[in-house]
Amino acid sequence: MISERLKIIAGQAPLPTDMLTRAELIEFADAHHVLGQMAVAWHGRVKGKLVEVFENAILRTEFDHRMLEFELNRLERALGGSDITPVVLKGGAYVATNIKASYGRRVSDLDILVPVVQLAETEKLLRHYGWENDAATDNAYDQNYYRKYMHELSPLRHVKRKSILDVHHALVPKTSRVRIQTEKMIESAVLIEDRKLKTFEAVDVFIHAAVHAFADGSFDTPTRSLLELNYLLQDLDVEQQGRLGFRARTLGAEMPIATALWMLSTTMADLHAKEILESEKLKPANCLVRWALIRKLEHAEGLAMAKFMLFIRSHYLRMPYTLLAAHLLRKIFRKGLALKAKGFRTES
Amino acid sequence: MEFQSLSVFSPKKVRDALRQGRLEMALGPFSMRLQGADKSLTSFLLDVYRDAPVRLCLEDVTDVTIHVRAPNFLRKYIRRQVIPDPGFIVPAVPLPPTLAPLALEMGLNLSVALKCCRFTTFHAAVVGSDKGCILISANSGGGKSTLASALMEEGYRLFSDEFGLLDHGNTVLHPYPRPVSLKGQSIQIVKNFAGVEWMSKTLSGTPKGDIAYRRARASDIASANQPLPAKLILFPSFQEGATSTTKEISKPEALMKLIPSSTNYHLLGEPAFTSLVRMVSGARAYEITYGSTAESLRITTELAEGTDL
Amino acid sequence: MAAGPYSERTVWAANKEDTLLQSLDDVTVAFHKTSGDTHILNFLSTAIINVLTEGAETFSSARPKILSKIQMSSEDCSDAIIVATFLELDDVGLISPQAGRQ
Repeated sequence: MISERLKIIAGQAPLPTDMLTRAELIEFADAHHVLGQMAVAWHGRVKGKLVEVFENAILRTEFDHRMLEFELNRLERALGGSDITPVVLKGGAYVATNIKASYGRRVSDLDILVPVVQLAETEKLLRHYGWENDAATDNAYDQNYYRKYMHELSPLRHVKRKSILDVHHALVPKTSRVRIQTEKMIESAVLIEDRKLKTFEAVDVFIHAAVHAFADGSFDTPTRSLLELNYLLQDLDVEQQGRLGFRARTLGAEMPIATALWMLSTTMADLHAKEILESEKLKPANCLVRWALIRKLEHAEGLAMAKFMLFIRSHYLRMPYTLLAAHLLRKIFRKGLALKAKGFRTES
Repeated sequence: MEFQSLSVFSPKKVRDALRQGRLEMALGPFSMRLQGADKSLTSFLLDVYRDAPVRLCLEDVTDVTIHVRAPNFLRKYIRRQVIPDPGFIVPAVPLPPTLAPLALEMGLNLSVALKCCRFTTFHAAVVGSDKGCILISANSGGGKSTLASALMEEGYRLFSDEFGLLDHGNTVLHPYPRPVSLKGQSIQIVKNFAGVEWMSKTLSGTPKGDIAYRRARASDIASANQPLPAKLILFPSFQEGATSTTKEISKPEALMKLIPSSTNYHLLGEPAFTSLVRMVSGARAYEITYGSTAESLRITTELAEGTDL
Repeated sequence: MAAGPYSERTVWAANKEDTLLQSLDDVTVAFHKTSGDTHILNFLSTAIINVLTEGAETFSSARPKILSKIQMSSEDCSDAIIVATFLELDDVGLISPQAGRQ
């Protein structure tokens, strides 16, 4: 069961003694990009070849973190003369603030958030200093779609370094059915020490991760997301945990938070998560959705159905029906063409 | 259970272990878990890897896993194909089951190139005397493998025909003596000087034409845990019928030529830089061009005499 | 191409902690740790890095020191080339404007 694996990966349950099972677990963790985090959780507690396998995984994540560091540095350099102080989101924020969720984490793109009033100036400066539209979304339909409906610019790629920068002005699209009060989160954001960058305050960091996993997207990296939420929740002290429910309701994020807490208590037997969920009487997504989420995590029977459901839901959450049909048709058509062109790929 | 030469085990035991994914092989710094059901794979291993240390029951995790399998359910039974599955997504061209050995070799090369970060990894052939090694820097192609095979006949030890593995701690290159892969005309050339008993069956109809493998000697494998520093670095260029030339190049030039030939230099950062600087500082580097294997051998042995090898 | 804002008043410094300089056969090789990039420095870049390692400077305060190191006059080595080299070094992170002094 994947949830058993989750606990082992987080260092909360013993490693399998049968070596074939153990080898398969390591391969699973690697395929789901959580081997580095597993290596950190098990540091100093293993012997034999596993020491080298873990060392190998950590080296890769250290590279990721260095690359991100350089991107943060280049971002600060580009925005240096202005008074724009972006909020760094997700992996970039975890690495910049050196919290548990960053240890051994694979990271790639840099995500930042600016208030919508600063968006035009931010974009102008970034384009001036080498960022340009990434080729994949540099066409009329996508550009129009992003400008009109999305909560972020289309992805920017730096012309020399080829790295990706996502500039957000909200946490969910304008048309989303889950209305998150991003402005309140920006107001409470705090300056990162020694940097001209901000991060959400700790409770909001957890809330954003939950929103990202359960209110925006198809839960495509279940193992990675749950591990992330697990570590972010661990970083909240008693006072912060106590505020979580109220803050979630204030921001309009009750459903994603409750779903996150429900998933953590169900799959990782997380008692804190259970307690908060019950004492605050928070309402998660409906049981069909929760069924689909668990199926996707467990890769069990019903997977095709679950995947399809979540794919539809991710679009349903984002846009009104009028847009939905046209957009989905176009996406399916494009994917079909891309598969034909690519020929063969191994399954992961 | 200790590792033993593959030849010690019965073919049936080897086939069963391969089927279940319980065959663990150790070569130099890497251990590999191999799995596959095709007969061609078992025969290949029994022949070409007969001296490799293996265990038939898993006693530990491994650095690398390769499962040679059908790309999807359909291809398991209809117009059968195989691909190497190393546990992560690779661009793998499906092959007929008779070419399963090639799938294995390609899968192993991809895994080492993409996954293993404990050493700075270069696309190179490496051979050694008892004092040091020769690093022949070139991308995948017949040239360096043929030269490496020729040097083996001159008494050099095979480290690898595909990878230079540079240790950060003490600037030595680690052996990883898998079989030497030879293409097209090189097959006959090497058969001639090594002897047909050292060569595998020729695989025909591969995406790159005919391929055959010169197996590593028991002595190469036995000394796989003895790394050595590089004394000579060569950048070879083969042109049919060309006049041989030799040109010594400076250390910074050698550095800047080796960096792009590495699969993980950028990923590793500072330790890769400092150990590469030490490696080029302790060796002499040359660009060489030649028109035949005999010439490449002559030039190399001449240059080797000028060093500490 | 510039990596960020700058002016005549910008005070530049070499990023010492982030750079490894190595002399190999009379050539200076610079390794930038965070980006993982390796650079062969030409004589002008080497002089700029050396001057800015000794102390932070503006374009104008650095110029005479640089010209003195490379033993050239400003006719042989124009301002434009020096400024362009500063910007290249800025772009790869080997030098940066000092905090608050852009």
